[in-house]
Amino acid sequence: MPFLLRGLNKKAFRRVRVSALIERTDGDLVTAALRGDTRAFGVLVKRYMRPGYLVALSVTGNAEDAEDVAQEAFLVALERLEDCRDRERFGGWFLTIVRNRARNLLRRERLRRGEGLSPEIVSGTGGPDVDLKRLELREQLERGMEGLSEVRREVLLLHDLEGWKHREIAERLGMPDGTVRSHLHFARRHLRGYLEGLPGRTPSGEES
Amino acid sequence: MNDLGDRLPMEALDPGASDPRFWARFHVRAMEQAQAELGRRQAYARLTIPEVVFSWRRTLVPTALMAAALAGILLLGQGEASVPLSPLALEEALTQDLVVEPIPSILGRGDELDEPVFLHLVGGF
Repeated sequence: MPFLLRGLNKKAFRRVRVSALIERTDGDLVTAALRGDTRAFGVLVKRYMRPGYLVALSVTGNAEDAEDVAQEAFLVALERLEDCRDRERFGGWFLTIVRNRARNLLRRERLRRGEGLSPEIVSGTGGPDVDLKRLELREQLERGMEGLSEVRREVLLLHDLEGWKHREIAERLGMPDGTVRSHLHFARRHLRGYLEGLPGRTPSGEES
Repeated sequence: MNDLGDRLPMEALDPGASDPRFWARFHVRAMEQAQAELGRRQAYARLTIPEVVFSWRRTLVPTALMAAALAGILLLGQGEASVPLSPLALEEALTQDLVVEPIPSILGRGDELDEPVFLHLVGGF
C-alpha cells in the first residue's frame, strides 16, 4: 500500500504510530521499553504518572514528596524492568515500587525528625494563580485523610480522583473486589464525617 | 452504592487542577531522567553476538588463560603422582571380587542331561 502512505506526511505518520502505542497493552510497552524504546516508555509514564503520584501521596501525605517519589520510581522501574516478571501487570508492580519508596522516605523523615533536626517547612505549589479556596480544601482533605489507613487512602484516591474502577484497583493492588469496595466505603464515610465536622463546610466541599 | 453521588471533592488534591502544565512537566522530567538508561538499553539491544563477545574480552581472556593454566598444572601433577597400572586380563577383571559359589549341579551332569530336561530345569518350558 505504499501509494496510500505516500500522501501522509511525517507528522501524521508519527501521530498514527503514537496513537497505536497508546492502545498497546502494558506487556507490549514493557517489552519495547526493555529494548530502550523511548516512546513506549513515555506511554507507560503517561499511563501511570497520576496513579503513581496518588499512591505516593497516600503514603507521604505531602504533595512535593509525592511528586519526587513518583518521579524517582519511574527511573527505578526502568532500571529494574527485567524484574517485572508479569509484564501485563506492570501497573501493580510499579505501584509497589512507588509505595516502598514513599515508605522509605517517610521512615527517613521520621528518623531525621527524631534526631532533633527541624523539619523542612513544606510549601505549597504557590504561584500567582493559586486558587486559595482550592488550596484550603486541599489542606482539609489532606488532614482528613491522615485519619485513614494507607490502603484506604490509596483506594479512595485511585477511585475518586484517578477514576479507576473497583476491578482495576483490585487487580493492581492485589486485593479482592469486595475489599476495595469496603475500603472505599469506609474511607468516604470517614472523610465526609471529617469535612462535615469542619465549621462552615458541607460534605461536598463547598462552603455553606 | 452510587459511585458518582458519593464522590468527594478530591480534585483539589490533583496538582494539575491548579497548575494545568503540571503533568506535562512531570512527564518531561521523568523522560529526561530516564534518557541515560533508555540510551543504554538501545545500545545493548543493537549489539551483535561478536560485539557482545568482544565487549566481554576483558573478562573472558584472563579467565580463559587462568583456566588453561590451572588445567595444565592439574594434568602435570596427576602425571607425576600416578602409579603405573599393571596389565590385567579380561577374565581376571571380570571375576575379581566375586564370591565363589558352587557351580550349579546341572552343569556337572554332562551326558545325562537331555534337551527337554534341561529346558524344564532352566525355564519351565
